[in-house]
Amino acid sequence: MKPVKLPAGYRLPKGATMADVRRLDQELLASEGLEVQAHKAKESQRRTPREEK
Amino acid sequence: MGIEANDIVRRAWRDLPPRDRVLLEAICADQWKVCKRELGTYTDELLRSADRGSLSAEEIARANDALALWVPELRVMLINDGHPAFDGLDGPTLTYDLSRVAWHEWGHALSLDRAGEEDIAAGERYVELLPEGLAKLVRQAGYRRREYTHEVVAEIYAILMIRRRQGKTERPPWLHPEVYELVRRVAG
Repeated sequence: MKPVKLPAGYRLPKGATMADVRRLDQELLASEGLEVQAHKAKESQRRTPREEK
Repeated sequence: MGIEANDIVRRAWRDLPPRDRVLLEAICADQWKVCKRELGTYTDELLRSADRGSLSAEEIARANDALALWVPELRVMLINDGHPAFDGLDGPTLTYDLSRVAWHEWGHALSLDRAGEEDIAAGERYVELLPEGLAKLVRQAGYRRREYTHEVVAEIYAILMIRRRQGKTERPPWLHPEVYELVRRVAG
């Protein structure tokens, strides 16, 4: 059987979060007058954390 | 009513440039599945059930850490929306993150099919040409050297799509022209 083509994934460095990714994006976007379009929701729109589901 | 992850990914798909959607369809990369599974284990199950081989234990463990995967063997993108990285996000933030991850994976689908051996061999150089923070992210996330070019294409592709949503379609001033050309050549 042919070797399986390995999947390509999206991983974060150990200890990093998506908030770090957004901060990085914000730095780049801000240099051209753009912004990360997040963090604007009301509390009622919050998702339930996984452990509480 | 909560925001459906699948709807967010569908919207991210619709926001791709029409030409990119056609290209992704042409290479059979227009299917996705949002699930709440560790993706290495899940991919291995899918591969076995399709009689397409299996992943090594090391590869399963590696893929289990991933928020999303492009599985070239099955031509499907998998997103684990139960990944702890998506916990506790408000609606717009979840939309931003899931869209970004989906665009990253479509960038992978294009890169894995279209990047040449020379592009892959130049991965380290392309990472050096990235803005410092992005380069650090790629280096520290545990990718193999031969994955660097694919990661560069996927990351930049995702950020280009974020900009596109805000009406910017030209080369970003912070992006080295060589990297921009790579992404245009491979992904567009």
